[in-house]
Amino acid sequence: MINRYVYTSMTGAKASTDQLAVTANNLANTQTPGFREVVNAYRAVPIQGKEADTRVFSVETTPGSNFNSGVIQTTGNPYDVAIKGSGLFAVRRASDSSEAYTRAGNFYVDNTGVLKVGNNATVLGVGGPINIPLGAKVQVADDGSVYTQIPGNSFLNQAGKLKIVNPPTSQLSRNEDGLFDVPNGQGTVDPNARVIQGAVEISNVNPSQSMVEMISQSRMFDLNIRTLQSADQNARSANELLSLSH
Amino acid sequence: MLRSLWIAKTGMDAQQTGIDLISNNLANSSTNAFKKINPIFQDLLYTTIRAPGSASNAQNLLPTGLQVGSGSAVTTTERVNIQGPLLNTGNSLDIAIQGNGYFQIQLADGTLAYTRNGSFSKNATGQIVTQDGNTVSGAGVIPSSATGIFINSAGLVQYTQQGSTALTQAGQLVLANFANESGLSSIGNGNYIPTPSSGTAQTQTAGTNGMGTTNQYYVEQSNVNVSEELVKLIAAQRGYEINTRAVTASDQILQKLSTLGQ
Repeated sequence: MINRYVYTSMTGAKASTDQLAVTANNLANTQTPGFREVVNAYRAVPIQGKEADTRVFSVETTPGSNFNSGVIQTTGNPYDVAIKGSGLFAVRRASDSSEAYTRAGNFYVDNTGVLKVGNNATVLGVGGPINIPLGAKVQVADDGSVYTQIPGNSFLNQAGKLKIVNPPTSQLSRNEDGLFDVPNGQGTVDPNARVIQGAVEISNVNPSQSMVEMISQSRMFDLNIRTLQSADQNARSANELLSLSH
Repeated sequence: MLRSLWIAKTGMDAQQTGIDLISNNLANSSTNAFKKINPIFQDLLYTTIRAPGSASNAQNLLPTGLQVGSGSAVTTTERVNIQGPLLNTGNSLDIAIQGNGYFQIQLADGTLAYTRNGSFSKNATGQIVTQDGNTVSGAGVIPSSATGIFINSAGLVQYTQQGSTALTQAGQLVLANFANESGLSSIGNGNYIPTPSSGTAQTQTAGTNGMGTTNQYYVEQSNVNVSEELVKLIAAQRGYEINTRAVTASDQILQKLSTLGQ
């Protein structure tokens, strides 16, 4: 029978391929506006039995996200808004109308003039969704207030104020649609948040760091395969010893 | 098979779409009234393989879960409707809209379309038409005896005749606006048609209710910024390469697995 350390090596190889998937996802999203890098880690799972503990399995986990600021790219598009420093935009999901949070500031208006972002999520202002009147020019002040002005009209109308929340990042969890949630609660408005209009924050994935992670994950896989092969080799040698035909 | 292989493939696909759009923008950097189109990248759905708090074995609960995304995609393309620079041509039938709005034109099959390209001409009957021969709504007919054509900022088309300074009105250009300009569907030749996401056309006189003004003797140039596109091209190309590295890493893992136990 093959030595059971082959299963320990197997968990290491499996955890490194899982981690490679997380890194590949980070690398695939180097251009996604507001994307926050998924942080990954190995976790030790000791096998506890009646006898002495000899084996510790390895499991891959994603404990959270990296909330450092990403690169801010100026676009000149009046509907692009980037948050300076920490904070997230509050949005309402199209699917179940729940409140979610995102760093993506590439807004657009729909056919009824409502400000939206991403996959049809409604951008929330402090007092609800923000409506942009037909033909209006949009100005976003640095505190997130959205003003609209009909060209040729000196009257500046406040359409709303972007709801920017700043919960502790440890409270944020990534939903399966890529938006963030505050489980069992809602973020409170941060009056000190500052934004820039005409710029969009893209991903905070650092390609060089992710490339190095990818190399290390590949090598970790290789290493575990080597020990797996050595277990295989040992078992073969043992089988040959027992074989009577030679 | 390996998740990372397919995730990296979605990254390559997305970057490739990005390069396609950049090359289209660059190819149209001299097209009148062309509006640049940007890809909107989005992260795809995440799979929760293990939720935080699930049992790892009889004794332990996992403090953190495992969530793996499925890559990225260009979910939508966004037309950036910022004003292009105006170029003085001296041609009396070149009209640029400064501000919001689209010229309404009638296609050969009778449907209405909208365009920002105001480089017009006359056809055999004196009607003002686009370069493709589609009639411009409201522009009217300019007789061959006309000596001068005057179009004011409100889109009023007038002409003078030999030996007279009196202006005769030929028509008034119809301008239309949309709640969501980016939702217009491009049908080529710089023409757009409304879609459910753009909202219906709201026609108004130029210079009123937020509509832009018409400027005779000018054409609106493309709003493509060539240096910006080239920088985006570099980023997209390197992004593609990085994703191919992830494919290579996944491929090497599969190679090792396939030779295991030999």
